[in-house]
Amino acid sequence: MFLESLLNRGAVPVLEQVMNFTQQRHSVLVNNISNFDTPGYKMQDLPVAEFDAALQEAVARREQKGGAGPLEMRPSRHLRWDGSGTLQAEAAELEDNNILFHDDNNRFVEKQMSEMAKNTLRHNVTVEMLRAQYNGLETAIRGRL
Amino acid sequence: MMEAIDISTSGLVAQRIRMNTIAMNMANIDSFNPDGTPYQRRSVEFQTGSGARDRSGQGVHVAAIRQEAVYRKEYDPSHPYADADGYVSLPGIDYLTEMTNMMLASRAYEANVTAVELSKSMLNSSLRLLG
Repeated sequence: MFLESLLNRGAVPVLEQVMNFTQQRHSVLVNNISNFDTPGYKMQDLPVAEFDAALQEAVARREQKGGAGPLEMRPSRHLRWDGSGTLQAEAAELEDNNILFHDDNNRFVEKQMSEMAKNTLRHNVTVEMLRAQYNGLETAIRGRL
Repeated sequence: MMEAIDISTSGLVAQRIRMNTIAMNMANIDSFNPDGTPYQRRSVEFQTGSGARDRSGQGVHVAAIRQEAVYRKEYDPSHPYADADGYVSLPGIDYLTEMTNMMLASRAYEANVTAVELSKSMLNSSLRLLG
């Protein structure tokens, strides 16, 4: 109980949500890349802006309640959270302005590759920040530097 | 995260099969089958999902390797397989198309390799959380 309240405060739940999202989005982007040459396949994605808005809104709501306690994420158009607060996202065909090729595939190689690089970077930055949080806790528990 | 690596692997396998098929076409550009009919050009057909019975839509697999009954005619009356007018039917393969497809396959293979590298870097940084 004590440990739970220790971990469910500050930036840790926010970072956890971001990490969860970037991991799930990575699978979707990887699936797009493996299907670059599949006839009829349409590029899929998870909505980044929608997720960021939902996260921002949840953080603001938590601030109003005193800034402690777990994050309460509210479902949005494409995103759902289960009872334990884990993201249950369904990949959707969000981009409809790509060029449609003759094989009925709307691949956009450069964009997919750069989106994947950006997503990885965001994931790694989040992990580093989470690590810094845990290191701070560890220092506090040990009581010396 | 492990699932992401599996998806990329399915892409690598599919592109490698495509590459093998192209290599086979180029090697057999003037070949005949043992029964005297010209070699038929092979082409791969990709489908989503990691197998014929997989409905998850994750990954890619080669659903079929098609044979195309397309031939090119060359005039060579002395050829043992020449028809009455002196024309021989040869496989309908040209190097230009095959080379272009080969470059596409190789680039797609590279894209999948990059995806695996990024999956690995994400996995590594996640593992570093442990200590």
